[in-house]
This record gives sequence, structure tokens and C-alpha cells, in this order.
Amino acid sequence: MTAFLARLGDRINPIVVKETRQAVNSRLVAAFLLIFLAVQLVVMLLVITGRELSNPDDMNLRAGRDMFTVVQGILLGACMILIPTMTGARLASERSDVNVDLLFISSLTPRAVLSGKLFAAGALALLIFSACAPFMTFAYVMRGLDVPTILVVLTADYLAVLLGTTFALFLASVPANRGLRILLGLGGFIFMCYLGAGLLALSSEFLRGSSDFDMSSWDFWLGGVGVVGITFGSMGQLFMWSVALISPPAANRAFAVRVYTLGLWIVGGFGFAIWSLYVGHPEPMSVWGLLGCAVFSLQMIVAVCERDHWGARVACRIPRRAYFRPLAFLFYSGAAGGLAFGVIGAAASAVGIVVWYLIVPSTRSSDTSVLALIAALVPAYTYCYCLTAALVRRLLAKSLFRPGYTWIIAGLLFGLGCTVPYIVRFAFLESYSRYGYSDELTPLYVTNPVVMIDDAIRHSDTSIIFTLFFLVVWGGVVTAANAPWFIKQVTKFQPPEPREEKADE
Amino acid sequence: MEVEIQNLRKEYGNTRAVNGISFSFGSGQIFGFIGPNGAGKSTTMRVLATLEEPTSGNATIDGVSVIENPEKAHKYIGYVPDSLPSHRDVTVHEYLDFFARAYNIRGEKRRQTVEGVEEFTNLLGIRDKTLNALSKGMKNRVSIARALVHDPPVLLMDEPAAGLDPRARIELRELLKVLAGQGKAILISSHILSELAEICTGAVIIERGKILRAGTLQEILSRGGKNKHGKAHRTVVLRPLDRIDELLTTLLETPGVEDARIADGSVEADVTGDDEACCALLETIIRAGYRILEYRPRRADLEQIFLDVTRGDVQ
Repeated sequence: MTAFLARLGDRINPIVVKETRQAVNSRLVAAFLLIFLAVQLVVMLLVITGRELSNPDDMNLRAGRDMFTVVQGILLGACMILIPTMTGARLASERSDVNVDLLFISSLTPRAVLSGKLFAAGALALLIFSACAPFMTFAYVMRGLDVPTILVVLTADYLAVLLGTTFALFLASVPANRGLRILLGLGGFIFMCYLGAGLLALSSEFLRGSSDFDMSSWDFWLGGVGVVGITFGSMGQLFMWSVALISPPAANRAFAVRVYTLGLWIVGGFGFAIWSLYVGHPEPMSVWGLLGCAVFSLQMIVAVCERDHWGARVACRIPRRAYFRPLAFLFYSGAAGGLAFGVIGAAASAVGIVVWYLIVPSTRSSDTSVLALIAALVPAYTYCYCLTAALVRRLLAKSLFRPGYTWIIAGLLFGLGCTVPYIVRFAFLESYSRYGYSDELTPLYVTNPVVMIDDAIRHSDTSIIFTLFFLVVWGGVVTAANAPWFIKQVTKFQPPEPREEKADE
Repeated sequence: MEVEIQNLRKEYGNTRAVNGISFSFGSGQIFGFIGPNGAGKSTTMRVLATLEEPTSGNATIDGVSVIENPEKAHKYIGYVPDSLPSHRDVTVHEYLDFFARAYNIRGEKRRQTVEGVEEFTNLLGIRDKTLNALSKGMKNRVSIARALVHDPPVLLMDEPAAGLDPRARIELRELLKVLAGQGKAILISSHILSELAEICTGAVIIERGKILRAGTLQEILSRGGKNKHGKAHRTVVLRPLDRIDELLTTLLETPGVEDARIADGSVEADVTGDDEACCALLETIIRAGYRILEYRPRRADLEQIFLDVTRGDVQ
């Protein structure tokens, strides 16, 4: 048995061993666990005592459920604060330039490092969950609660903690200075709060026995499988992005991300298609299409931050066979390839929505054009802003901004595009309507995607045509201006000449 | 095992941190990497350690390119960075055990390896202390132990002696000698040139990303230094039987002698030119009737050569 355990110990990811040891050694974790247990105990005693004092003769048949709601609320809150924060903070410190030893010197791959951290976080979460077991058992012994309900809620909580931790790992992987890191941490904290609060609201409804959560129906379990699938899909996407972010810039770090994105898009498409056929209307596919457009738009933003040349490490892995190269170009690290990948993916998602509406006609046919329009406008605006940012960086701010920071220029341009119309309106015009603009002034807001998409939803045909015309012109101009940059990358996407040939020369 | 750096360049924007340097060193050699701050030493080290991608050029270890195949090259390299390990809640033993696991050393072999490295680097007494509780010298030792865990044939050490007390420096020196004796190829950057001169078999002097001198220590020292006008010069020591003051005056009036001074009953003279010029000077002195008991050229030390060849420019 000892030999087996020793062999098992050898097989475990070293990062898991290190992280677990650190957690066990950590005074912070020990203190947190003790405080957590004390809080659980005190709250439980207060709830029971309060109930007994207020209604001593009342026979409460839901006492166990109420108690469980409180206990799991504390558990979820505690885990959502401690585990993602600790895991993210540790990765952020190990990623800094002064601590290169753990992440960059050893022979561990970035994927092994992150999966180890995620696994260790999962193990720590299990430890905290198990520490909470006596309180859960006590709640179960009281009335109004069954074991499947407890398991469903705890599984949802555990998945939320894992999702939160993956998100924290992603934020910690973003290369940033201290100020930006604090901002990212704040953003992460807000995300955790939303995730935790949302899950608490849902689990309260579930525990209360709402008719939307009927565990005896197939719909509940199918929906559950769908949610779990989306959660794991999102975690995988965040994980892949994180791996790419901590991989050396010289590596072909976009490859795994793009393959995963494409795989998720295809598998998700099948899943949503089955769901769509099952419910008999095309809306689930619209969700898939819109999510696809959002992810591929994000891909475009990432792509313009990539390098426009290949280092020796990537170059020597470019396929020698010419017919493989166009496909490889879309999947290998590089700005132009990433941009093309994003554009093709977003276009396929938008087209996918339209095609599905033709295959499975909607009972609410008016939604078709709106959803397809939103699916087209989001990536179209992203494309225009990204290419404009790439152009601005190369022409005006090359010395100020490295390619990796092109997203900042895109963000600034987006901010200007959104706010300048309002400033112009308030400074020179005197019209007012619900969103701060009136229909006759809509063209003024054409650089503001939020306004124009909102307008598209409200079926303003004139502004839609104008918006599309504007985007075609804008997109055409920036595409033409960036064409030499793009073509240069396409033509340079070739493997280096073999060493022997060089020697012969 | 041969480490070869070929025409390596690294640019950060408009700054050329490393400007086309080439040199090589091999098993059993300790190569000193010398240069003022900002010369490009750490950048070169980081490229060799696969932490940075060069703008152009290549570096190979036993034929394996650290740029094209960094995963394979990792196994050959033990890198001691200029920053020390400072991770929370990890003991020395756990830290080394983690790296042994990371290098896929398993079971009993891992235990033996970690204990062996702890013993070799004199860490057995502090193996259960957390990294944060260690002094700089101890952390430095841990860093070296970590670099040795997978028994790499090449060691890259970036300022390992910085901030160490005299005892720790002596211990480090001895450790390096033992490691070189084991056949490891060592590249070490340091500002303490006198210490480097004692242990190095070769040196590379670098400034503003360019190599000024490179070769075995013998080659570098025998080439001597340069005067402030950039011309080669030698220092010779003459011990006359008598008339030392007259000899000093004569030397100061002799063409080709830049400077002369009396030290320990001898006269030291800085002569412009190479060994030929030194012979000519001796001939002149003897012809002038001085009786010379001893005449020897004084070899420039590494420190003098460093001062002579570098200008202290930063970029």
C-alpha cells in the first residue's frame, strides 16, 4: 500500500504537491478555516436560538432547508473569496520577473503549471466543503431537506468555485503592472460577487421547491447537463487563454487556443442544435451564434495584440508542404492569422443563425433579423476598431506601444467613439430622447456600437442601413490601409530553409 | 558538452542590449562574464536560459538550439538568476523536492538526489526552514542547489556572489571549483573581478552589448592592457643594485615610458608598446650603465584589463 501511494505520489503533478504543501503550511489558510468553522457554528446557534425564542411552539417543517441555505451561503461566500484570491495571487507573484524560478526555469509546461494550480484549488475546496459536512448533516437531520437536493446544490457551488478560480487564474496570467493588476483584481472580485450572489439566489429558489426546478422532470436534468457543459466549456476557454498568456511569446501559443475555440464552437453548435430541435424553436442556436460572435470578436482583439513576425521557434514548425500552410496560418500565432480566424469564425456564427432559422422556422420570426444583425454588428465594430488601432499603433505610436498593448489603443478609440457623439450633441445640438439621442440624430452616434445595436433591436430600418453602410466604408478603408501589413505576414509565413541547404550555399 | 553563442542580438525597441556577440565554452571550464551594469550580461544569460527570445542569432548547447528547442535545452541548463527565491510557506526541502519532481526524478532516487544536493550545498541544517526566513547567503545557496537538482551539464549563474559575506563567497568559490571538476560548463557573471580571476579558466568582457575581449584567462592576461590613448602598454619592474633615484629619472626621460614610480625597492615603469618595447627599454638602461638585479614584466590583472578595455558607458 505504501509503495502504491509512493508511486501515486510520483505521478501527481508537482504543482499540486507544492500548492497543497503551501496551503497546509499557510497560517492564513489555517486561520481562515478556524474562523470559517467558528462563523458556521455561531450563525447556526443564533438561527436555532432565535427561532426557538421567537416561536417556541411553532412546528417548523422547513427548519433543515432554512438552516442549509444559511450554511451553504457561508460556505459558498467563504470559498469564493479564499480560493480564487489565494490561487490568483500566488500565480501573479510567481509570474513576476523577480520570481522566475517556479514557472519559467523548471521543465514544467505552462499547461501543467495551471492545471496543477486548478487541481490544488479544487482539492482545497473539497477540504473546506468536507469541513462543512457536520453542519450540513445537522441541517439534514432537521426537517425539509433531502440528500439529492443537498448534492445538487453542493455540486453547483463546487462548480462555481472552480469557475471562479479559473477566472482568477486567467486574470493573474494577464501581463500587467501593479496598478492594472489591482484593477483586474477588483474586476475579478466583482465577478465573484455576481457569480456567488446569482448562484445563491438560484439555489434559494431551488431549495424553496420552485416549479422551475422539478428534479423529477427530464427538462431539469437536461438543463443541468447544459449548464455544466457551458461551465466546463467556459472554464476550458479561460484555461486555454491563461496557458497562452503564461507561455513564452516565442512559442506558438495561439495554436491550442484557436483549436480549442474551434472545437468548442463546433461541439457547442451540435449541443445547441439538439437543444433547439428538442424544444422545437431556433432560439438556442441564436444563443450559440451570439456567443460565437462574442468569442470570435474577442479573438480579434487578442489577434491585433499578437506579433506580426515569427520567431525561430515558431518558424521552424511552419509546415513545409504548401497546401497545409493556409490552414496553419489561421491557427499559428500571429496577428494576421488570428484576425482572419476571428473574422471567419464570427461570419460563420452569424451565418449559422440565419441558416438555422431557415431550417427550424421560428414562431417569433421577427427576432430572426434582429439576432442576426446583432451577431453581425458586434464583430463588425470589433473588426473596425481593432484594425484602426493596429493602424494607429504602427503609424503614430510605435515607440509608445508594443504590439501587445494594441488593445489599449482599441479601448481608447472605442471610448472616444462612444463619448464624442454625446459631447458633440451636448455642445452643439439641443435634442433629447430616452437614450440621450433622437432618431433624426442617430447618424451622429454611428461610432457608438451600443447605441446602434440598441437601435437595430428597436427596428429602425433607416439607421440600420446607414450603420451597415458606414461599417462597410470604415471596414473597407482600414482593410485597405492594413492590406500591406497583412500581405507581408501572409508571404512571410514560410518555414526557414533547411540547415543543410544553407551549408551547401 | 559545448555551449556556443553565435552572433546573438537582442533589441528592446531602439536599445540594442546585445549586439552580435559570439563566444563558446565547454565542459570543465568556468567562464567569467564581465561587464559594467547594462552591458548585456543578464540579457545574454536569460537568452541562454531560454527566458528571452533573441532578435537574431543562435545559441546551442551540445548542438541543441535554446531558441528553436527550448524544452530540450532546459534539461541541460541549471540557471541561477540574479533574483533569489522568496516563496511563501515553502521549506527549503519542499522547494528542492518540488524541482526534483518537476524534472521527473521519481521515488527513492528523488529522495537521494535532494539529500545529496542539500549536503553538497551545505543546506542540511536548514532544510526545514521556510524560504522567507533565510538570509541572502542562504537563499543564494538554495538557488544554486535548485539549479543542481537535475544535474545539468551547464550552469549559468547571474551575479551569484552579489551581497554575500566573505565566508559565503569563499564557499561559493570552492563550490564552483568542485562543480567544474565534475565536468560542468559554467558561465558566471560577477562584479568581483579578483574572485573571478581566481576561479575562472576563461572570460568574456562585454560592454554596450559588444564583446571587447574573450578567450582563456591566459590569453586575455597575456594581451595586456591599453593606455588612455588606446595603445597597448606593459608594466615592467626593474630592481637596480644601486642608484634607484637616478634610474627613476632616466626612465621618466626615456621615450616610450609613460610613467615610472618607486615601489618596494624597485622601479615600476609603464611602457607603451608590446614585449619588443620592453626588451628595447632594458637594452637602453643597461647601455646607460645601470646594474640591474631583476627585470620582469608585470602581468596586468583582470581588474586592470577590465578598466583598460571598458569605458564605463551605459546605454
